[in-house]
Amino acid sequence: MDRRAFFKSTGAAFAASALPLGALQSAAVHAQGISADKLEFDPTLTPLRGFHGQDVSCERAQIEGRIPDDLRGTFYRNGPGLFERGGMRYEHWFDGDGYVNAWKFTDQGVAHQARFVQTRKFIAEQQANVFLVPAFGTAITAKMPVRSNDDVNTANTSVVRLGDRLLAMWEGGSATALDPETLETRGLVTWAPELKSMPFSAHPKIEADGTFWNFGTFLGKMVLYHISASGTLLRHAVFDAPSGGMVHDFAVSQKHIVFVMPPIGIDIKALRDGKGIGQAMTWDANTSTKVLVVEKADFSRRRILELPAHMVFHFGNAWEENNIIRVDYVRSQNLSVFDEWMRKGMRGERTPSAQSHPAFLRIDLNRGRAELTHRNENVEFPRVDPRVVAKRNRSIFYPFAENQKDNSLNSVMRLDVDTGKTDRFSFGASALVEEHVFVPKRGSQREGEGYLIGVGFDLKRQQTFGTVFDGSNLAAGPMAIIRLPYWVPTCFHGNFHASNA
Amino acid sequence: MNAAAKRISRLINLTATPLLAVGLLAGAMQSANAGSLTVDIKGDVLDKGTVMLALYKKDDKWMGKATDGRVIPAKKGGVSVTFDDVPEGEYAISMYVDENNNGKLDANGIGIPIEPYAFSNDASGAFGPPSFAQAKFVVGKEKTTHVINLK
Repeated sequence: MDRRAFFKSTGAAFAASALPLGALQSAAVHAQGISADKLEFDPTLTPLRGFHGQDVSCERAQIEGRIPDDLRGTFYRNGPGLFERGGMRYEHWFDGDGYVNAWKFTDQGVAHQARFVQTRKFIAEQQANVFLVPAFGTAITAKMPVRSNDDVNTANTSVVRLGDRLLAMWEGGSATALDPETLETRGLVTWAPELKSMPFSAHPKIEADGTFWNFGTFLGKMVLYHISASGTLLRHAVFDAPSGGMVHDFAVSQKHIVFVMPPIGIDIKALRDGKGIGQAMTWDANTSTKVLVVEKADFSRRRILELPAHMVFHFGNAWEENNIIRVDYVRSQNLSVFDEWMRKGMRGERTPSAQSHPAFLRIDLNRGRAELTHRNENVEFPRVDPRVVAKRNRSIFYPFAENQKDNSLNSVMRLDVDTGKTDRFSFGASALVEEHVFVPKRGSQREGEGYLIGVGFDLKRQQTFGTVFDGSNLAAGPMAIIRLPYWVPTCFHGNFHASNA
Repeated sequence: MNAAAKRISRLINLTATPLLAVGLLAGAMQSANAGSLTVDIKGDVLDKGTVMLALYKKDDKWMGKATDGRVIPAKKGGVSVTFDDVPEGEYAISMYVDENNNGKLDANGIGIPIEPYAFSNDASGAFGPPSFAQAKFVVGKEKTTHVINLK
């Protein structure tokens, strides 16, 4: 039953209290989390153990190699940092509380700081020392009222600077504003009164001039946001989504906004019976993956195309020429990474993940056709030079898995989309790497001139490190490795904010 | 129909929209085994607007037509309402704060309420209101006090 049908069935009164995420006080009994004390954690997965709510900092990280003189600013990253309370452990990686990291590049070196986002959920659970609200992928009986999606908002997926605010983003609810210097939590961001508690994805697309696009989806509804470089809402629209399930990321071209919507359904009955939203997701391999194309200039002008069923989490970029839009993303077959690999990882079990490949979508708006091709490298977390967002790009940067039987990411790769050539560096068996982002060289105008920076985990030292590569020569190896004296929980996503020269 | 019910009926047009928190109110029933019920509503979101409260007894259609109700100005720190002569039995409450006094529980574009609301027992539902069973409490022969925490 969809949400509207549910409204009708309840007749008058309080139909609006359809709660977004939640699995509350249900009669049905589900396993609630993993018992934390019996786990034998694979040492290569140490950062998935998470922290117990502590903030960490390091004033001067040890640097091997040399940090370029023009790489100055803060590399912000965010990920789930806390998975256990009161002997109980979350079942899904997405459940953890947001933990924002700041790597500050100054003339004095690199400083690191990480703090938990002080969400309503985090503050209450810190005090209680047990989980109080349902999680995305773990059924937890609510021990405090959950009346809006922001009551279960973990602010754990990405972080970006917008105007004078740092936004810690989830996708099921509001962004949370932080102080960009101290990482102190300021509070939830409401763009307009009628947009209070609306979903706001963790994958905004920011054009070179600062124009900020984002979206949110929730059970059959979508919202689009057009926000100025200084952080003011310019336009928004709410409309029915062509499919009901999770949409994690999107792409923006010169004139269009493109969504690729996998055939994920939500089993409402499972939700109402007490399962987490991640546990209630279904995969319908017999239906199509929908491509939704929205005109940037007029959000009411939308069209839908179809592709065979496949899964996508992350996009690189989109651009268009002569009414043909090209979109790149990373495709996988289905939800197995999400359902199996992530759940085992939370138990400390290292198992092979499903493959995911660079994919290239060509949308012919004249003929109303969409075609998808792909390459065979095993990659995730595509990024492009921020100067070419929504414009023609030549390069895409990915972490990838080189000679890894379990497909874990141990390398970085630049793909030249014009020639198909790649430039790669592998850490071999010594490290695993996270998303890497591109930072333009100061004064340069050319795409690809700059640095590729990211984070990795040194398996032997059991420590987290930062990387700086020459973006045009990854094969040469890192220009600098920035070593922290500790490990921090694995992050999902982040962005670099250059300081003023 | 008592005065409060008349006022609610004026405030809200029950046929116009399903987004209403308080149902039609019937007059309070008298009973030999009746006590009083005091509902204390606490929280830091009571500094503006009007508290709309509906009291349901077990035999009512939950979230439909209510047994009784109150419309009272919100007050910083908390408000308290008393129902006299409430027959013994199981009851549940739904309530919201109509902050902008437009007579309805405002929701955002995807249907999530954006004005404070709550149920007795501080119950909350999954993708809808909680059940009567989740929100129910017992009114006895003497005085009963029930506390609802708005956040």
